[in-house]
Amino acid sequence: MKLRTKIFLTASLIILLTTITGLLLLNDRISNRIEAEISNDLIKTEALFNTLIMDRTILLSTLAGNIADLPVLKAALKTDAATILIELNEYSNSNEDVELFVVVDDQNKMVTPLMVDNPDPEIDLEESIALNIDRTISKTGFWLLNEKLFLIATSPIMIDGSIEGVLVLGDCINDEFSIILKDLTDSDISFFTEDKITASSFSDSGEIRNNLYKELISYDEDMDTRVFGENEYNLIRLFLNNENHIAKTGELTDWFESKYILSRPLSKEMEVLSYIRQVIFTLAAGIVILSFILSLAISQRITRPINCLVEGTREISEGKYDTKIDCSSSSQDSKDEISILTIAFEKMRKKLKENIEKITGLNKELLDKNVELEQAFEDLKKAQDDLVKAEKMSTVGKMASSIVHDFKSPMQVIKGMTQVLQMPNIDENKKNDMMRYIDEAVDRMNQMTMDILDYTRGKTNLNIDKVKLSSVINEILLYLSNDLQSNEFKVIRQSDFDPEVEIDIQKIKRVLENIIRNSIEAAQKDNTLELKTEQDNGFVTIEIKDNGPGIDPDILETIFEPFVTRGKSQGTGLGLSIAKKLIEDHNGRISLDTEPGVGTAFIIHLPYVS
Amino acid sequence: MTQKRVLIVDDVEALRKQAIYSLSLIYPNASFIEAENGYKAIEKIIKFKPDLILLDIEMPEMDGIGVLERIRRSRDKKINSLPVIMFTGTVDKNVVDKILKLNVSDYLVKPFEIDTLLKKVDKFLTPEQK
Repeated sequence: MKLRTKIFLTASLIILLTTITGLLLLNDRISNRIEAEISNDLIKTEALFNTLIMDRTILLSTLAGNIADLPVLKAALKTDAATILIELNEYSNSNEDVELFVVVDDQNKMVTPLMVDNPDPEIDLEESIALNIDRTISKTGFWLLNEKLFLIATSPIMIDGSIEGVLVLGDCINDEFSIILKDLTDSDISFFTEDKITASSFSDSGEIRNNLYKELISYDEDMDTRVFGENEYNLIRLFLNNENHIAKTGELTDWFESKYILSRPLSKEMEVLSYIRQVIFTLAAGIVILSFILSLAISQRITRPINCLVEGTREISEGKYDTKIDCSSSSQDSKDEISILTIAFEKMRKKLKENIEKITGLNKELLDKNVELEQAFEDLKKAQDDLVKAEKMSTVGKMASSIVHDFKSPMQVIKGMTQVLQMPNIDENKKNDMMRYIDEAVDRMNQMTMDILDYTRGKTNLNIDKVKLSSVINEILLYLSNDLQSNEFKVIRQSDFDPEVEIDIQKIKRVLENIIRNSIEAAQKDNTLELKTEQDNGFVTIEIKDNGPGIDPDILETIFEPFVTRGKSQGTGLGLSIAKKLIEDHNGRISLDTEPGVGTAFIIHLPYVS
Repeated sequence: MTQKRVLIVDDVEALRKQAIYSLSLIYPNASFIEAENGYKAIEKIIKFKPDLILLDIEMPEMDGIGVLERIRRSRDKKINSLPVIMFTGTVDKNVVDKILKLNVSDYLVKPFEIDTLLKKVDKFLTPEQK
């Protein structure tokens, strides 16, 4: 989720919660206020109600006092009650209309006829009145007579200083009474006595009364005290006639259970409240929408430099170091954290760019150096090639010089001998000798040219014959017997193994001759030449060993290379290198073992026919 | 008059014989001694005390230069001052410098004329020998 979205959502959530909380508080407060207003109103109504009751009580009391003091009443008390009644009726009618007019004598016996309907004949009304009179010392109050509630006032009837009877005046608190009070207080009034609705200003439909009764008894004592708003009132909610009512109750008297209920419907206030709520909610919706827009703008404003920074960072990560990171908002000098971060980042980018440029420079230098190095390497390679070429040339030169040098001796033989032959007085025998020397020199020169050709030709064509190895050795020893004898060689032969070999006989003879001639040339005194054949690991070995001076360690390593000689005038220096080459052409190998002053042994390995 | 002795050192028999045959015609009274390598040459120098040495440079084992060095190093005055004429197949300057330093009497580069040899030898052998 993008930062911007996060900020937007957070701000929106906060605004939403605040608005809802505010609305709830406001709604609550308005409701409380309205309820408080109604409560105040009801309390005022109650006060008015109390005043009205009090006024009526005083009126009744005054009236009772006045009537009790009438001489006609005093006289009637002793005579005829009916007369009294008639007269007093006239009196009372002229003053106030009272429902109850009772006179009792000093025995508490009623002397006036009962004017109240008695629905239950079982109850002794007379006794009930007598009981009430005893209690009603205070002279005013409420009486319950025959399940009807009365507001009464009593007055003693005094004759000659002694109480001869009591006058009781009373208003029946009935529906009419309630309606009168409603007209005066602008509030419905009901009376609840001894588990019954005894009177009510509500129209006499049993349904409302039943509901009221149910509602009232559903409140237990604790619930009687209900808290509305901030103040504590004895208010209860009633639901009557599909309408919410608010009601105030109060006790009428301590003698029996009796309550008055002042109630008002809430419909008018509810309308007002609902209208106010509508206004509030419309406003709230407006505020929320406005806040969303604002938070959107704010989130954009907060996230813009961050986004700019993110964009800059991305560019750097992609290797674009040239774009300046400039996220300064309209307020240039704002030094918030993001600005500081941006400045730091811009510094970092510059530094990075410098370093990258430095590295690039170094890299380029390195590349240049590399090119130089490659050039140097090329030069070196060329130089090496030149050197190799020169070496080759030197080899060719060395070879040419060696060949020229080696030809010098036989050339000298031929030239010198022909000149000596032309001299006078030469002995015939000597002449023959000289001819022979010339002949031999030519042979040697021929041999040398053959060697050179063999060496330079590459792989030799071999004429393979199958032959016993010993016969080849015998032939070469026979061929060299003169040279060996003249150099006083003792030849020792040992043949433990004499297989058939497939070889070019002439070539192998050349090899053996070359090696044996080397021994002859190095001959000293008491010369021996040992020839030994043995089997060795699938090969036959021919060992040719002399007791000569051995080979100089200086040339030992290069002994099989061309033009390495021990200084002799008669060879090309190719003898051993040709020998090595020929043996290798036969899939064999040649090696040597030498010790200065002791002798030299050449060992040839050749494959044989099994 | 004592008989002159000439030592001829060469590994090639034909070349030794060539010198002997030609020189013996000019100096019939001289005696000729042969050696086919450096070691034998040294032995024969000590044994026969020759008046002149003809010495080939290119030989196996000990070459002519080695022999010349030994001659010049000898404490025997008769030996270390011996006249030595050398033969060589090479005209390598290093070789020539080396033998000149070793006080070689003369040298010949193969192939040379027999007459040239005779003329050079003539300086060291008295005419009475003829």
